[in-house]
Amino acid sequence: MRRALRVVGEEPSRDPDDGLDVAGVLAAVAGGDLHAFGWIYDDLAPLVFGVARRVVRDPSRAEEVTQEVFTEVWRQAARFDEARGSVRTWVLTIAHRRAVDAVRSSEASRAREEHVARREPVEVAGPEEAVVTASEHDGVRRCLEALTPLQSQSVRLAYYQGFTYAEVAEMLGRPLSTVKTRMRDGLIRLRDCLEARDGA
Amino acid sequence: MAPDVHGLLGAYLLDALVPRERADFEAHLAACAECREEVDSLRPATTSLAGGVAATPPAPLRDRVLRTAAQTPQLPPVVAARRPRRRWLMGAVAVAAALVIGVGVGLGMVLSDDHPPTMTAAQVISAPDAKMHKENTSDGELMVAMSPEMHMVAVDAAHLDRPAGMTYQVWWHTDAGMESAGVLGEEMSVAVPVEDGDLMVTMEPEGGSDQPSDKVLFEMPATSL
Repeated sequence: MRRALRVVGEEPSRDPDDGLDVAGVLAAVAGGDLHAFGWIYDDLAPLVFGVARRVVRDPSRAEEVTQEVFTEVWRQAARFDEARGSVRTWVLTIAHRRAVDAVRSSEASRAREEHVARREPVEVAGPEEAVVTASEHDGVRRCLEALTPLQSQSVRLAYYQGFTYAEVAEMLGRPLSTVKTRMRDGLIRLRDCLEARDGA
Repeated sequence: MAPDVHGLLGAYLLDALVPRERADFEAHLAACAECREEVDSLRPATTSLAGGVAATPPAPLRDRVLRTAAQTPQLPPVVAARRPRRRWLMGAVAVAAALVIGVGVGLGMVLSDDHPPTMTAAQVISAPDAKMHKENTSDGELMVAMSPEMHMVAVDAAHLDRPAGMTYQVWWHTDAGMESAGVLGEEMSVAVPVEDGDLMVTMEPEGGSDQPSDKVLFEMPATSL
């Protein structure tokens, strides 16, 4: 199924900005094309499932989140706005939010809160634990290393573990305003670093 | 942009806000082009963090996802607030396309879950399963009714004292952002399909607006309606 859609002559790239018209595939999905939807799934499911598993931890809950995310992509396909970003960015935005909502609404969240309240040292999970495959991953890892320690910790605790900025501030023993600011300037530095690598 | 709101931009992108802050930030975002631009410019970097944790999902999940999709109605594209009817046309096209392609089982559900454009607020309000919400606003009483069976929400503002030249507009605030669901016409009521998000009713100039004003009369997640 996947192969058939690749006849455009290029392998689908991990880079959302080149070659293959993923937005065109999504437009077919918006028209009810399940075949095209299967292609989008094949392309993005490892990332969606990966984020869900990292954030919610429980593998069966991560599967549920993945299913919810793709059902949402199917429902909302006609509302994707290409002017605001790539398909991949759109899908992963939905995925992270769903995963975070799932972890905060779960039983586990109570334990997490106690954890925060006791200010126990937390494992700051990062991509270095994951199976390394794509060169893109290398780029993310290197660029995360380019952040200041506080930027990096703030970004990672929020993204990979789903903590709120207030929880992050508590865990790191820093003022709220500092953590908010580090999250924003951390993302700006990450963007600039990734763009510089792409341009290189 | 107010500095306190701007400061939340990174936390917003990282989904590190509590629901209330997220809603406030998104309401602000809807009105601030500069902020949307910064959010859009930082999103790819934010989502690139997913690249570090990619993992192969269990193989059976693919079938489950596709089967669920085949049984799930798709939303029509968003079109200008002034012409809510066109949404239905587009939705019908999408359903027709799905039919032609023959997604197989579940299509009966797709069709029966979809609704004709002619449904009135009165029909929704009088549905046997309709659940009413009466909201006392500074302009008078606003009624919102939801029928899970019809999958529709009715908004009735006939009892409101509205200022001249103004009307009310219904919005859905979903993962995809803020979208107009319809503008109340002369009969001062409207029926809109239920979506996965928060329903909002705002006061707007006659004809409706592209983005909601600050005058919010009603706000509730679909799950609580």
